[in-house]
Amino acid sequence: MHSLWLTGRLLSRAIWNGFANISSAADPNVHRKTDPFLVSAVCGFSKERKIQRLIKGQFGDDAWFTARYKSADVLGVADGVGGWRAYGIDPGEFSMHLMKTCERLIKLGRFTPSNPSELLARSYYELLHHKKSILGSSTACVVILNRENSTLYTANIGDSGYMVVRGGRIIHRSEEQQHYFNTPFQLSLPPPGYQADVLSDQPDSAITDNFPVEDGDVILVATDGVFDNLPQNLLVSELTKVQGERCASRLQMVANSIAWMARNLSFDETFVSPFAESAFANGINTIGGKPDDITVILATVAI
Amino acid sequence: MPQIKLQSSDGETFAVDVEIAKCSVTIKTMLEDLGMDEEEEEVVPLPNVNSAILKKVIQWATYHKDDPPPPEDDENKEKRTDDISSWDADFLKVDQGTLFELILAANYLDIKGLLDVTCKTVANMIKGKAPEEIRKTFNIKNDFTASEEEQVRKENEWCEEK
Amino acid sequence: MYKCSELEQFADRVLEFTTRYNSRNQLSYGPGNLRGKYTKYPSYGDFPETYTLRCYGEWWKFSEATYQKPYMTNDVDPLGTEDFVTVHFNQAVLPTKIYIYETYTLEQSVSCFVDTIRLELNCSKLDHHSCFDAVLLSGRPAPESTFQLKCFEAFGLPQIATVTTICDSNDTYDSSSKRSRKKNYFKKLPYEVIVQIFYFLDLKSLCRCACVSKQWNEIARDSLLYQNISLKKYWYTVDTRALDFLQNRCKNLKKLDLSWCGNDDRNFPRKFYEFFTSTCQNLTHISLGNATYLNGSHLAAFSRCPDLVELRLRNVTISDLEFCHADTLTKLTKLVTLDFYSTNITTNMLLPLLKVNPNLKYLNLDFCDEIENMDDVIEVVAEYNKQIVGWSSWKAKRLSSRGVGLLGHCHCLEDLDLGWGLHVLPPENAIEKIALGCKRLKRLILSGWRPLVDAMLLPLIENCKQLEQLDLLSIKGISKEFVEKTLNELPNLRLLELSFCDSIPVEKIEQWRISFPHIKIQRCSETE
Repeated sequence: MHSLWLTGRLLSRAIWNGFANISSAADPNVHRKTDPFLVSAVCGFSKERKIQRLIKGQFGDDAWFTARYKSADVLGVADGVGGWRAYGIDPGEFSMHLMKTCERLIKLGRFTPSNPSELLARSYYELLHHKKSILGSSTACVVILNRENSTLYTANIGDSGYMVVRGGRIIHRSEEQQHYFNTPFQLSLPPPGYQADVLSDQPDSAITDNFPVEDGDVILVATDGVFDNLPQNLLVSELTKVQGERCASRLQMVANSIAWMARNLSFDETFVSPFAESAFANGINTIGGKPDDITVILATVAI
Repeated sequence: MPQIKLQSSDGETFAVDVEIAKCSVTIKTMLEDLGMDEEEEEVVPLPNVNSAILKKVIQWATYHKDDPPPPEDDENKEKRTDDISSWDADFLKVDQGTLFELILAANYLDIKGLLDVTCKTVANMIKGKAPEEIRKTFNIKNDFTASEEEQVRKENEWCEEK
Repeated sequence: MYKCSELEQFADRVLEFTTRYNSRNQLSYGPGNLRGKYTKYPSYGDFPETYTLRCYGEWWKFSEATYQKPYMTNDVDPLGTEDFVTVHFNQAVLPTKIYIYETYTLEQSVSCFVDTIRLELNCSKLDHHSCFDAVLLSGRPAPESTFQLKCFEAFGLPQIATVTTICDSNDTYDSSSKRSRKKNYFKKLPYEVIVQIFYFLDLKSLCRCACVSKQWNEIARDSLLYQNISLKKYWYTVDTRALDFLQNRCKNLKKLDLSWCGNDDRNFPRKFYEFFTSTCQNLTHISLGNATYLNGSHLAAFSRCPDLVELRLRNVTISDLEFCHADTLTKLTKLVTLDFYSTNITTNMLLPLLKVNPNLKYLNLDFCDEIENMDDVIEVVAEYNKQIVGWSSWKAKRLSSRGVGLLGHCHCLEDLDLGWGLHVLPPENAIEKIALGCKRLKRLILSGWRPLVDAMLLPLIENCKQLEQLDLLSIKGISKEFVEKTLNELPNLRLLELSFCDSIPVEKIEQWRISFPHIKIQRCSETE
């Protein structure tokens, strides 16, 4: 009972987080009707059940941002790799700074709308030059809607990802990049003395893609906490509900329910989650969800 | 401490330690070149310096006798004017006539330190003043014709604030 | 006077600047962060979202590779301006207020135009880096464009209060001159004595002296007075007229500092070329910081100064450098100081120049992004410039432990700035090679060498006993035992930079500050 109240409060704050964001994204003064744009909503949970500091742009070790500059709408998520905790490093710091820096780069126009992988690379190199040394590693996924040609440009490193649904069918989804099971590609800044032992992928190893989008297309950008716990068909049916939705608060409700379901399933010890299926395929016998931080950015294309 | 006697233009003589007198390169060369014997207490005539000024020069030289010798090369000489010591500043609180006499004496006696500090003092009197103020300060007559003045003004106005 | 409501606006562009912390294409700590509303203020700390200056205090003036001694000691800037940043505002106003949002320490600032403000900075009195967040200009909008000119006049510039140190004695002069019947004592002074006096005057005073009388005019033109010229202080007023003025007088020009000048005058580049070629025969020192107009023909002109010992081209992008012959500058063979701070100098251009200058002592290659591989430069320096005393390559691209190790062959090195040089690549035994080869080191900057750990740094403490300044900013891999050893075993140490060294607890720093009061132990972070 107690814990339910806590999560309830977490939820309401998470929703508030999301809302604060939509209102700016859907500002009617910013765009004319002819320009395509994204309506978006964000929801997420930290894996930890106990109350933690709630910082905008962060759910546990996950981080996210949404931003706009002239003719581009940008969404991004990053998942800090938890193994760093053993070295006294906060795994959320790297992902958080990576996303925040992306956001600043966009707000100052220091990016190319057709090149999200360059954006990730720039953000990474900025972190290399921070006086405060930010250590750790992270997966990342950035999608940019270029409003001039209604094309979505994507870059993905590791096992966070995106999914685009139109008319109840997936028209595009990201590929997972793993070195081996449960070890995704990652950008990293290892602590001194550990360079050699750490998996570090260069920002240019991001998988990039681009494809045109249409009015009403639904875009989900999320961390592996979502994809590992929610079966694909469930995701598709949720996304289909908001096909063409332009009302930010209705979008928010679906984002909330996706995050909520992912969270519940992640703690379900009997559920055969996508994660468990993948583990089984790799010869590991396990069952149940995968408790993880969860971040959901849900957006629809409005043309 | 051996002494020599310096005689001013108006005939007054001053007994001065040789080491102090030698801060004047002119006196120093005289003593060396002319083989003047320090023991004999000979009188060195200084026909270009009057007694009032000579007294001040000796006062200055006595105070500065332990200063390190000034650097030889003019090239890298510090040319700031805000580094006059408070003793020198007090010493030079004199009327313009005396100040210029001191400059002439320092120049004639070749005392670099005194020449520098007196020149700096005059430079400070010039700094920050408009041409007309400078003329007033030093009683200089403006001998430009109107058209000459206009041309000179034009040539030099670039550094005035716009 | 017209009345209009006040308009408040934040800077929309940064036009020009002289210093920065990070490379050109990077956002963090860059001048671009001055744009728009403040983002971190009123937080206090050293944040990447602000415009952060590189230097503070007097420490850096030790480095001759970086610090230029003034060319004209009789004409120093009373404000002590060392750097500037110029910001632009969307709308021209008659300024009433300017707010500068800072997140770290305080600055001096002066001078304003209408829609453009230049903040002149003097950090020598500061204890820390300073961080600016935003600039807000408040004022009444100008009704028409002609108004701009007027404002320009009204807000001219640094009211340069020329120092008159002994003004209190003026009264004495005045009263006495009244008594002693007005007399022009200058008439008694020989020409060369008046020149002696004029020697101590700044350029502005000389200009005014030239207007006093015919005699003064003649003396004030004497080329002896125009051997060392620095116009940097007059950047806001220097145009082709100023060069005309100087061209007639500079018959024996030795040192020329035209930094910050001439960027607003379209005809300046051509006039400068004419001026330079007619006066440059005896030049020994040239400094042209922020001269945005420089091109290849100017470079070729520099090679006509056979006696040149100092060439400083800070913050300069030479427009047609790719078409210049690599040998353009190689007639210069007496160089002692070369300062290419934040220029587009290339390896092709630099290496031949280094090879013909065996006397080179000071070399600054900070932010030289066009130098593809710093290791190659070091290789040449280690072979041809054995006299090198000061080396600076802050934020070098492609520097590896091989290159750093080669610096160990430069036995005269006293000042070594390798800030952010090996922030990712493994340093291996590069520091040991430096420690064994450069025993005269007095200043060593290793900011941002993240992979460093105690064991790599220990040879420094054992061999470089002359060290006075050691900068280990942002190195997490050092222990408090190492710092203790450093403090105890380097007898000459005066500055130890430990900002962002998170492995060292703040309490320890406080303790050391008490036990080692003669050493400045620097420690800042993002939050304080």
